Amino acid sequence: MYPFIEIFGRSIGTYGIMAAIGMLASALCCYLLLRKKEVFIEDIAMTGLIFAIGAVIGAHIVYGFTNTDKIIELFKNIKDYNFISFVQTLFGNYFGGMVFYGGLIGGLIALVISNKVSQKYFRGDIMFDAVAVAIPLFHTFGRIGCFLGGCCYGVACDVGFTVHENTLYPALNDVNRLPIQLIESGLNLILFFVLLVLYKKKKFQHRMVIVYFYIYPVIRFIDEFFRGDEIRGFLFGLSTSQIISILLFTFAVTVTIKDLVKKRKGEEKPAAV
Amino acid sequence: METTKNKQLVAMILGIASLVIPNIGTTIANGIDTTTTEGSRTYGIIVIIATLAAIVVGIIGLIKSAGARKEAKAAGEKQILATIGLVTSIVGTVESAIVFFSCGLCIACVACAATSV
Repeated sequence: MYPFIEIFGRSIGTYGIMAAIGMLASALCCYLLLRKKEVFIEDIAMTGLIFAIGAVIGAHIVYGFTNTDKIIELFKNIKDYNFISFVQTLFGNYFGGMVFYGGLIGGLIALVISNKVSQKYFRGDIMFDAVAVAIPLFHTFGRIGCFLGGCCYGVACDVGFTVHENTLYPALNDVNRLPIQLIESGLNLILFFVLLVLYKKKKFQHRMVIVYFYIYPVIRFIDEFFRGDEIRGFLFGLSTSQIISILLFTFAVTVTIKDLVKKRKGEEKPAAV
Repeated sequence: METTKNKQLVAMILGIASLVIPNIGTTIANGIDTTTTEGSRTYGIIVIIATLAAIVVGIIGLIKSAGARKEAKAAGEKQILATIGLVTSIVGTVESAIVFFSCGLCIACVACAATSV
């Protein structure tokens, strides 16, 4: 594990660096896909900003959901805390982490709102598909960051890698583990190329996000069974991410059924998700 | 007469400021003795404030430079300053976000945890 590296004498988190590389790569991907459609660098930059703001908020809120029981407990024992320790416990411990699905949903909601309010920078009708293509590219780098950071890890097994010097979870050291984050990273890269080919062939126009919602939740649902993280159980033995996977897949099916019904009725397809 | 020059200039200054602010913060923080709990907490707070300020300035710079570039393009003017503003804002914001999420919070949390023990 390499949670930190030294750059110019400063210790910087590898997860943050991989996330930044992922952001820049996905922004570049969007730009290359959209440059012929009169979309400029500033539009991509603003889209990235809008997505990032929504993503940060969404990721923290969903992380908070995974700590619902602890938050309820905190509010029950509110008398035991002073203001600073209460804020520190609530926002530092229970809303402090981030969940990918929360970031994805938050970012997409932010883009939908932005598209409704003003189309000065983000224009949903031409940009949504490119954003959907870029998401798995970002995730490819993000998961490598997770692997390097050592916060997420796979189940113990005969094949894989052995962790040394994991300062976050010392108990995990010297146990052979499945590199599930690297596997997910590879699958995300394959998903990126699949979406890219579909985009280039102009298949599923205005519905690329739905295609993503069909494929990624399946990957994630299976992937979750091979993650060794302790605190993942939520409902009926399924993790929060698995429940969200089911919801997103159901959403995709619902949209497809709606589209098919509209098509049968001979109605026009909506312009954006 | 370039009508968007001032807006482009403001955007560029904000972008450069977003690059400079965290470095000023780190330089000040490096002068603090972090061997004591109080010192490490002060170090963490300075880093957090500096990076947070840089993120805010960077986001404003990004919005301003994006707007200035659009206006300059519509007016048929050069967009050099706005482009510099856009690039520096992106770099400054991303850099500060990395430091904020991977360093600043850790330092502050460790210091807070140390004081509460």
